[in-house]
Amino acid sequence: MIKEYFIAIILGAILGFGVTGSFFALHQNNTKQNITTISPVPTNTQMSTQVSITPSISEKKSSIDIISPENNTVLSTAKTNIKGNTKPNSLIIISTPSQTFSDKSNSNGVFNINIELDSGVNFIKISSIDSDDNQEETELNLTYSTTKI
Amino acid sequence: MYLLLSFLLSLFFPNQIFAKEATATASTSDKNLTEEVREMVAKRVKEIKQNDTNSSSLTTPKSITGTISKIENSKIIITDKNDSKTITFSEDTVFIDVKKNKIKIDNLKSGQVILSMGYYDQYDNFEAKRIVIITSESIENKNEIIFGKIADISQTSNVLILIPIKNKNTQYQIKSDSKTKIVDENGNILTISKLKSGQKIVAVIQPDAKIANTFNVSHIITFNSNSTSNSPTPTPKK
Repeated sequence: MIKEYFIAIILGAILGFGVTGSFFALHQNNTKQNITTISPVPTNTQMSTQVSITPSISEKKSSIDIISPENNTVLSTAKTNIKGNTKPNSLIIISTPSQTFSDKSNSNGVFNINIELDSGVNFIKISSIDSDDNQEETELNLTYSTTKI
Repeated sequence: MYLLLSFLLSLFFPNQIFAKEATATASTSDKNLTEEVREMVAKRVKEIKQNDTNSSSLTTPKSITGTISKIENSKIIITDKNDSKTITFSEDTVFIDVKKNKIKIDNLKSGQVILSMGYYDQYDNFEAKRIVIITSESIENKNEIIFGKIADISQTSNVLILIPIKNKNTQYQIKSDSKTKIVDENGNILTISKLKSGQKIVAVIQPDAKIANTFNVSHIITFNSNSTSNSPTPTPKK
C-alpha cells in the first residue's frame, strides 16, 4: 500500500513540476523577447564623430546641425563660412535670397562652405541630401552690415 | 524522499534559466550605469556649450527682425512668426528709415517691419544699438530647394517637369534661362543638354510671377545617389 502511495506521489510530482517548469521556461522566453524589442538600438548615422545610442522609437528631427555662425548673428563681412554637421557624404545646398552654394559633407558628415551674403538680412535655406535620397532642411538668419554696432 | 524531490526539481528548473537571469540582471545593471554616465557627460557638455554660447552672445552683435506691435517707454515689442520679442533702446540707439535716413523714435509706428541690431545682456534682454525700418520682402527668401527626378524634358524649350522625391503626387514645371547655373555634385559646370529624363536633380526655384504653376530655376545640381532606382529599367530582349 505504501509503495502505491509513493509511486502516486512521484508521478504527481513529475506531472506537476513538469507543467510548472514548462510554464516558467515559456514565461522567461517571452519576457526576454519583450525586453529585446524595446531595448535601444545603435544607429550609425554619425559613426565617425560619435557613437550614439538612440531608442528605436526616437523622435525625428533635422539631421543638419549648424556649428557656426550662430543664428541671428550680425557679420561685418559679406563672405562667410558655414560650418556644420550632417550625414556623411551628403550634398549640401545653401540658398541665400540671391545666390546658391553647394558642396558635399565629408565621410564624418562635416561640411564647410564659403558663401557670400547680401547686404542686410539674409534668410538662408540649407538643405542636405544623403546617399539614400533623404532630404533634410534647416534655416539660418544672418545679417550683413558694415556699420559698427 | 527530500533528495528525490530535490533531484526532480533540479530536472525541471535547469541551471540555464537561473544563469540567464543572472546574466540578464548584470547586463541590465551595466546598461543602466552606461546610460547614467552618458547622460551625465551629455549634460555637462551641454552646460559648457551653453556657457560658451552665452558668453559669445554678449560680445557678438545679433539681430532681430519682426513687425512692431507696441512701443512703450524704452521698449519695442515686435512679433515674428507668432513669436513676441521685446527690444530695449536707449538715447544712443540709432533709428534709420527705409531710405537709409536717420529718424527719431517717434517716427516708428505699429505695423512697420524692423531690423534691430544690438547685443543680448546677461539677463537675455536685447539692447538695440541700431533699428532699421525695412520692407517685409527683404526678410523673405522665396527660393525653394526641390530634390526630385526629371519626368520630362522639352527638346524645343527650356522647360522640364520635376517630380519631388518626397512627394511623388506633385510636379513642378520648371523653366530655365541663360542665367541658370547647371553643375554636377562636384561643382563641374554642365549644359542643359546633359540633363536627361529619369535623372535626379536638385533645383533651386522661385514661382514665376507671370505664368501660373511655372517656376524659374536659378540653379540645378545633378545628383547620383547610391540608392537603387524605383523605376524599372527596360532590358533588351534577345
